[in-house]
Amino acid sequence: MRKRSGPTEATPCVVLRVVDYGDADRIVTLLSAAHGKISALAKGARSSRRRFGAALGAFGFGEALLEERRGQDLWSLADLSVTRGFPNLPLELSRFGHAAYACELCLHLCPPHVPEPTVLRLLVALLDYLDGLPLSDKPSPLALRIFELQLLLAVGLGLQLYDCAACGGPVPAADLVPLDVRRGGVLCESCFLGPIPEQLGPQGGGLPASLRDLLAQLETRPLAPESLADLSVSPAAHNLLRMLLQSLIQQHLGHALRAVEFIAKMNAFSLEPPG
Amino acid sequence: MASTSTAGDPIQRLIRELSKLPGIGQKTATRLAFFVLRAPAEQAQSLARALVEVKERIRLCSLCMNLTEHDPCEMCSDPARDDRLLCVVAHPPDLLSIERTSSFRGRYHVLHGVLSPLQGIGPDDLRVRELIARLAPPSPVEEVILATSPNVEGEATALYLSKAVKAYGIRVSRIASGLPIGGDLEYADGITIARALEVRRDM
Repeated sequence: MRKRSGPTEATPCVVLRVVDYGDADRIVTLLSAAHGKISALAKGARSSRRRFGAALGAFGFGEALLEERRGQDLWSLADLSVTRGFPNLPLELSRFGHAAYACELCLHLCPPHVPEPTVLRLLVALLDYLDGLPLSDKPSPLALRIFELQLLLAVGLGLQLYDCAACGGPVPAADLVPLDVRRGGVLCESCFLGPIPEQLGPQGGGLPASLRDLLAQLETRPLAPESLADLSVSPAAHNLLRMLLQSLIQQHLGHALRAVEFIAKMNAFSLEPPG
Repeated sequence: MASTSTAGDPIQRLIRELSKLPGIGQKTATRLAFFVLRAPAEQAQSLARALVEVKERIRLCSLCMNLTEHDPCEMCSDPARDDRLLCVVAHPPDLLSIERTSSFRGRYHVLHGVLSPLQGIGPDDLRVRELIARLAPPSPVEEVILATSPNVEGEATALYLSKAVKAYGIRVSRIASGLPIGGDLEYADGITIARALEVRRDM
């Protein structure tokens, strides 16, 4: 008789998304070390006698026991045990929103079935940082910028900062270099015709040397509290950085992220104070 | 029979409509459509009537936001219930689960969801304003029990609501979570055991 499922294998993973399915099942999207982004059916996950415990929620990090179902994209999740909990994430809504944003970025930017150990490490580092913050502290926006930059780089969508995005030739240091977000980075003199714009907009323009260096620095900066504490970036530089990264992400995704919508809704919502 | 049908014909239309239901794929929708076709006419008519009636007659209770045929609903109109206790749940089926236990005789409030960044659901998408309106003086509510599920979204929603409710000087409690009755400690996951220890009680 033909076997309908492959061998069971264990792999570390983070739960990116959980969707209820049928009466008692769930479909989970995992970022796994062995297979990158995959979706798996967790049978009986919603019943109180479920085998998955507390790990089967968004941001759960643990070891998944997976079974490939022959001829189907959806794997079967046999077990998920928690290795690292992030209990403080739901306790403060801005870190909750940040964590969801990071998971949603991975969900949309990571190709399925491609092992991404760097992305998994990066995501766990961000969740760790957010979870470890004192409850009175807001997360540093630079943590998200580092995450965005390093994620884009890991999945092959990073900005070219020193080689021309069009011809691959070197682009030497200068006060301003031409940047074209749609083409994926800086351009050399032969590939960029005309004068270099002095302003930097969402689609590019003149990239100041200081911002170019900052981008390069953040691409290798460890995502840890002590590393973030050493970092000092002016609000103006941070705004430019955020604008560029959002434009780059938007270009690759082609749609708005729900976590961004959530953060906007949280910022806009207020209740009448008790009279 | 199926191969001769076109996209505009009644069978295809029924399959298309059924496959819009959650958890129903094309195959199941086709199976259900053919079941309806083979069933006696009265059975199909009864199903159609039930579907129309549920949409025409069921609405939200203006007090608790639960689904009801009469406004205010049976539970909000019941004078035997304790006005001082208000249990907040995410969805109507959660309310039914608590009612099945017969161990709660207070009032309810249904949020119709939980805060979810991954689904873009913020407080304005939930019945949060209606909850807060029920707590404004001279409200009889003395305790709000937050009974959202003990998962990430449920916890975040409970935390968010607890801050809003406490501003009215009303006691806020959270349903307990930990080991299930009849479960084995040996098979419980670390987070659940840690939670059970955290909320342990004196004996």
